[in-house]
Amino acid sequence: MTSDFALQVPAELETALQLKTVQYLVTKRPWLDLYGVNVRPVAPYGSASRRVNVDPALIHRCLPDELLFEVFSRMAPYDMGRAACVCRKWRYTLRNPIFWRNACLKAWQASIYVSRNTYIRAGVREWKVTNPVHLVCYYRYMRFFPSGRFLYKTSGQTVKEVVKCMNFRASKTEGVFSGRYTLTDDKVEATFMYPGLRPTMWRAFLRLRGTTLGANNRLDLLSLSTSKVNSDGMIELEEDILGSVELQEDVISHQRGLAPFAFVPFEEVETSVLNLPVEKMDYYVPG
Amino acid sequence: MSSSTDSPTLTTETTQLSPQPDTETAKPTKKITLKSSDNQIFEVEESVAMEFATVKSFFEDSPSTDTVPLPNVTAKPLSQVIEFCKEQIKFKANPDEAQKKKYNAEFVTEKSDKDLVDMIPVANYLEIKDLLDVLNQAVADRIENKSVEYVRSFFGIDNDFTAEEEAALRREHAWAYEGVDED
Repeated sequence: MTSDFALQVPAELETALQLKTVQYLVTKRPWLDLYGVNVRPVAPYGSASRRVNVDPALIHRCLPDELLFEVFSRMAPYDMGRAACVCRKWRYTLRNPIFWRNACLKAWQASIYVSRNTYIRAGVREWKVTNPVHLVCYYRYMRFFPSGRFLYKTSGQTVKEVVKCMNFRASKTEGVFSGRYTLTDDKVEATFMYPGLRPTMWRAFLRLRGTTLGANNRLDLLSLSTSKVNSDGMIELEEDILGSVELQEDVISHQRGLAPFAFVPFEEVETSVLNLPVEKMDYYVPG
Repeated sequence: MSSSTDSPTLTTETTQLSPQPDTETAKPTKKITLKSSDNQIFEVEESVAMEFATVKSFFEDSPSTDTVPLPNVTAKPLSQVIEFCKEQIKFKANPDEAQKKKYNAEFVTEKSDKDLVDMIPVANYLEIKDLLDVLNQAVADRIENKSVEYVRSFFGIDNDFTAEEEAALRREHAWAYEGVDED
């Protein structure tokens, strides 16, 4: 009987030991799950640092990032620029170039570049000792589209009048010409054809710059030339003007009327100083 | 006895109504109950509830239910969203773009900032795209041409930049500070 009992004890002890090892292996140790996870130290209730986790701003509590995205994508670029200075979260959200790309394309399309040029022409009045002097003012207008097309018009009319016809519906009779441009870094090369029996190619080299960083609100006219081309080169006009036409020798380089273009977004077309008549503004430097 | 007197009146009613174009609205419309997270009950017509894509798909999955729990939505924004959708259905019936635009503009202008911001996640959750567009545009419009300080106080956002960081940011975005409205 005693031997029986003595035999049983180690067996029991063994299972108990086994159980213990199994327990040791199986028992959950939740702190191990936190391995590699940053845990915020718990601040005492009611202390100042306790509130840090909860963003005090209603818009951040209510709106997940993707909805904040939606709001930003509906902002005008100027508002986005200021929104980027509001707080870190907004700043990092607005670093996404997609907002700026969309805003640029919108602004580029919904705007017009205006170059205001004046010159003085001496008039002649008979039987008078003093001769009158005419101050002649005219404008060059350019509107660029993201598709690589642009519209050009020279006119004596002010920007608020001209903007109405600066679209693709406008015909050549309104003096609106459509051509193609390329944009490489800040250099713009633009070309279109004056139609006619012997068409004239208009060609300009321009440079984008800004009065403040990144504004691109000026367009310097580096050079402007026109040249007669043979009409048989006119077939591929729309596709690649430069490659298809045979340039002739008589390239006329224009030295006058090269005032820099100023950027006028459509919402400022009515209020722009460029609308002022010559009597009110006889001198204008776009800066 | 009573049933026999009831039935002729019903038939006369339907014969009167049938020539009119909107016979569908004359039918007793099915009501759907929406339950907000704070246990408020909203009874809306089925056509209104079907404007909510989330509710609609809920019904497609389980057509027999009549109460839809909306655990992410509180009562106040929900009531405003329902109000908006009721109007949109009217515009769907007889389209009038100018009138619709006017209503949408009025709908957002009369709302407080908090109501507006509260409604956005609700519209998003219920997947009402039109309303979401209107609301997001409204929020963007409210801070249009406003100074940074105004936007911060408008949304209750803390300025978490250091003084140097902010000065640098403002230099970088100086172009955006032209022509800002007075606060």
